[in-house]
Amino acid sequence: MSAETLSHDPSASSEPGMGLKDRVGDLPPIVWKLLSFALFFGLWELAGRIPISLAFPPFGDVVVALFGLISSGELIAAYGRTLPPLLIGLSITSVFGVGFGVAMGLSRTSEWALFPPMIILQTAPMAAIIPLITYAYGIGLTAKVIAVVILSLPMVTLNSYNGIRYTSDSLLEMTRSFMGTRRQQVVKIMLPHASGMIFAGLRLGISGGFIGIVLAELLITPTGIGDIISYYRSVARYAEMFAAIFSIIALATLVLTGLQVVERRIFKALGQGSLR
Amino acid sequence: MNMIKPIGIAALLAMTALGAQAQEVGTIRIAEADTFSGEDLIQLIAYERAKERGVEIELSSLRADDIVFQAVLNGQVDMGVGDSYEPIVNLDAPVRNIYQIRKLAYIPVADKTLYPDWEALDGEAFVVHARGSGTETLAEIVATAKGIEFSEISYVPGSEVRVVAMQQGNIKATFLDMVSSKVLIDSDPERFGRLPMDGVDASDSTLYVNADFLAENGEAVQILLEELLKSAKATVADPSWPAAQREEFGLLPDLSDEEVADITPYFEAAVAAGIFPTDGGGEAAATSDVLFLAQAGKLDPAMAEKLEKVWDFGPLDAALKVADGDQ
Repeated sequence: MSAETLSHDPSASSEPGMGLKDRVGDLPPIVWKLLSFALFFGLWELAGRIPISLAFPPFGDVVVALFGLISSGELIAAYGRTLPPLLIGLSITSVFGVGFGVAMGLSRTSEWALFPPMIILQTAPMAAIIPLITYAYGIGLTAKVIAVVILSLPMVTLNSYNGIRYTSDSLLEMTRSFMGTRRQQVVKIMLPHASGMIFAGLRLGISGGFIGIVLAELLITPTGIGDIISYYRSVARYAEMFAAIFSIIALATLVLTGLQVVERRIFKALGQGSLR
Repeated sequence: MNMIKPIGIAALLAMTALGAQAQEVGTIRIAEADTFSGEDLIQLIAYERAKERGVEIELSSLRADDIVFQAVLNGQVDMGVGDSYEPIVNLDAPVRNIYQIRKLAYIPVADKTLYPDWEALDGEAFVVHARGSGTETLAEIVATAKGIEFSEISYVPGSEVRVVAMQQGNIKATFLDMVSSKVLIDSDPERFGRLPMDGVDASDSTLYVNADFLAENGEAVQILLEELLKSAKATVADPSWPAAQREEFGLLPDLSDEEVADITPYFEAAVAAGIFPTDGGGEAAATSDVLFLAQAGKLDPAMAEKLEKVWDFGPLDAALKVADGDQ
């Protein structure tokens, strides 16, 4: 086989001899993503049309219900109640989660003090524990913020901790070789090295926060998006119920994608793409 | 001695044959959203009596009314106890109500030092059992009737829980069941009191069935309805009957002495309030329920002309004929 036949020439992609595999491989990533969505929602529509259950609406009905909820203002009002505890909880988690994780990575005392409670929080069955929060904090905003924090904090803390704790020994050795101070070691080596893990923890924490707020609104007292879900479920208007669930998943996905974009930009600015 | 053995064998065979005959009637799986308590004794006794007539009853207690409805709709259970009107109408589901278990009997109570009447609750928060519950519908109807608007309707499931919340001052006004309202008001008559409300004729819970199951198991369903009717009639005639039957059948063995002592007073109060229909509700109950839900904007009032969409009166009519014939 000659070298010419092995070489890949993009301009030749439309040549008659080109295989389907090569043509498909040339599709831009966005097309793949859209195809993936189309396949998923198409299967959903099909399953709803069969129907696999009277309680499973076609995707088209869910979209119509979603627009109905938005245009009536019901969904926006619901998010007006869901977002404050979520944002407060995630802010607390971002500050304290990263702070605790870094402290645990740098100090044995902090590690011993914080590692066990974080593991307990991470492994505890949260759906069973969230109703207990009401005994101490009632059914208001505080209880929901705590639910968000409980679900998100351990992930951020433990990821940050692991990022710091497992900084490459050779990099630390290098700092010492260059007579670097402890502060320089932390700021210039450990934190940049851990930043990938910290961001991964924040992404997991945000996911946990969304789970926490929905669980709190379903299990503590129905408000916001949890109220819409439980109300429409109770009266068997499943298209609206699915629309509410769909909206919170879409919002969480958007937030996570946004964080990923921020993360990429930060790493690009710092020239640390290779660490990712 | 030689005679005893054949007689014993014959008796055993006869019992086996009877047992086999009883098994043929069928099994009904029934789900309810609450844990069973002394207040459910009419049903529990009826289930036991239906078992004696060869209808095996399998009971399960699920977390919420809508999950019970889902289970019935998807055929995981055959019957549900609770509220099913809106789900049936919204889904055009092959599920039908067949029996009114008990009527709605909730009493509006408030911290009288803050809210002496309904007008004082205008713009204030009100607490009900759950989203889409009968108490929420009641709250909406009473607000419309009194020309007031609650700032917020919030949800605290369970009358007993709301009593504690009222006593602790966490909530100020709510609906409670009869027993709980008495407990609350007796705990501090100076502070707590009833708010005036006209009587409402609607179901607190109905028995509903998967239509496919009903079509294939008419006999078993009819036996169950006959026993429910008999239990309701016996209770209305003598409110101490459920407590006595509980002992006879060994039902709810885990009840505390205090809970056992509360059984007859509850049925005395409930019978006096006319909670238990002795005719299974039927068309009158269906009409009242539809109009009640229509008043709260939850159902189209025109549904009162299409009751067959939400009820199947056939099994109850058949059971009533037998039950009336027995008397």
